Amino acid sequence: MQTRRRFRLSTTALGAAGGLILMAGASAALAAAAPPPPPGPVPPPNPARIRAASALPNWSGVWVPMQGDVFDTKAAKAPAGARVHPPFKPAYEAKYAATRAALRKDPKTDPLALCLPLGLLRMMSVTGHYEFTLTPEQVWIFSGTPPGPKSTGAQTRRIYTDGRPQLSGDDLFPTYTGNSVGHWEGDTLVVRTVGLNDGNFIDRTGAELSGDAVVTERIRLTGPNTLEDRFTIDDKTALTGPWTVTRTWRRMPAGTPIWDDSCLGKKVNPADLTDAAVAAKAQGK
Amino acid sequence: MARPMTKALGAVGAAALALGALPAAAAAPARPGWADLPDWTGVWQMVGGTIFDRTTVNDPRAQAGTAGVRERPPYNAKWEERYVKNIAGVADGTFPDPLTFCGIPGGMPRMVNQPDGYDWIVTPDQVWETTENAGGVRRIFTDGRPHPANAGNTYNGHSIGHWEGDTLVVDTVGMLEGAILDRTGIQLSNQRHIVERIRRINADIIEDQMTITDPLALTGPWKVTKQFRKQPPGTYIFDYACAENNRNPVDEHGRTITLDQNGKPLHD
Repeated sequence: MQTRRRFRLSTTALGAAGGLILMAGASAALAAAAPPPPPGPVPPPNPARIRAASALPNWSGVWVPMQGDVFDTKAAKAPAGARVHPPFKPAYEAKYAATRAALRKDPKTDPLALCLPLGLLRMMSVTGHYEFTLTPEQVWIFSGTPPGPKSTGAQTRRIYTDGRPQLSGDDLFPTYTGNSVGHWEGDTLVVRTVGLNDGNFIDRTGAELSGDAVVTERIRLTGPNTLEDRFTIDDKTALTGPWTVTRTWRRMPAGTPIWDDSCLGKKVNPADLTDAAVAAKAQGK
Repeated sequence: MARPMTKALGAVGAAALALGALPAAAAAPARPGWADLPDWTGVWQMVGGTIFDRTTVNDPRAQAGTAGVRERPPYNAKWEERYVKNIAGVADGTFPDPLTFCGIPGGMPRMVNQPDGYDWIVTPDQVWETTENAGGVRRIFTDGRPHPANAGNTYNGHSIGHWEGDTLVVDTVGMLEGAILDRTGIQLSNQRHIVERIRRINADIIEDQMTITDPLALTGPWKVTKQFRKQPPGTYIFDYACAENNRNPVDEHGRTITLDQNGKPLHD
């Protein structure tokens, strides 16, 4: 967590990492001594916000993807051995071939084997559940799969629609989901994302884009229970031109259950781990 | 400001769960409009350190995870014994924090006891609580659904809520046994039941008053209050990548392995 102004790794490192640690350490002691903040007035209702929120389209509920987990596939289930077809430059095509060969040899070369975040674009092609949560200031997209041997864990994107500018310069640093700002054109959410990690897998087949990737999305309802995301991906380093992909989701009936996600699944229930650690200790291992 | 009164589905749902049946007559509450909902926008951070119950900790200046630090949940003798064992394990390093294995959610109620940023996302049908730390996502359904009969053994359990004025009243069941509440080693059984009253008490603070009951572990209700402070406008929550440079991944059998500098497992 960081305010934009304070985040400057090189010049004000204390404000970034050190400040938080300092704050966490100091606040434990201070808060214990200080009485809890008293109740007081909360900001009055903001009519403009209520109007903006009430005008948002209804994307509530649980959604499932209508395409398989290969990013540009049109099929409901991507066939075995399927690959994506971005307009790769030769160097990135070669990189993709090497990564696919490595994955065939050892599936654990997939970063998901270590429970790393999927990031963008991969979290948008998970075969699991999705939520598109709209508020006037911000949109969240959640995807994931329930606990199990192949679970992805919870994936979260934050899209700022409060008019703030895209991060740039020293404030923009690479992350899994990048920096996303959006605005509404009628009922279409237009999102632009930059600052993605160089070389993140963009789906389970191991294709990569560079840190120069710019992802533009136009997301809208195309039917009462169908949501469409038209992606245009530009990447001057990895691609010879724009790569356009459309993915769609189907809304599940109201009340469809959704559970929390855990990448490591139940096999490593903390209690088991703890007992195992204690048992190992007792046996002198 | 008019706010719809809703039925106390929490108590009904929990009772129904115990009986293995769904409540028959739980009327759906009127869907609140945005004008009926409080404004909890922005990024929030928990007040104080990660001691779960600061009112009973043996040293008010202590930090969770330091040897000898403990709180006083109203444990029965069996679970007090277990806690004492865990505290000894914290001291000699045999009681690791499960979060440090990466890929394991904090679970409830640790979801309201984590450092770094929080989102409290309020919408007419549902409330989400997200944590920057460990990338947690918790869902609180406010659409009138009851707890399902099979709510059991997930990290966050199953949370349903309703609004009483500006207060979100949440009922949570079905949590996994074994998750810790903080690094002192507090655990509860999977029979625990958490009722929360969450409210923005002033311009800067969201307060969560919890009442935890657990027929297997506790002799009576345990009341704990957590607060969250609003962060300045423009504060960001970033991706949380616990497993980057993870030298201790967990294999498919649940064993923790240690990697050498080349990323190959060291053999013991």
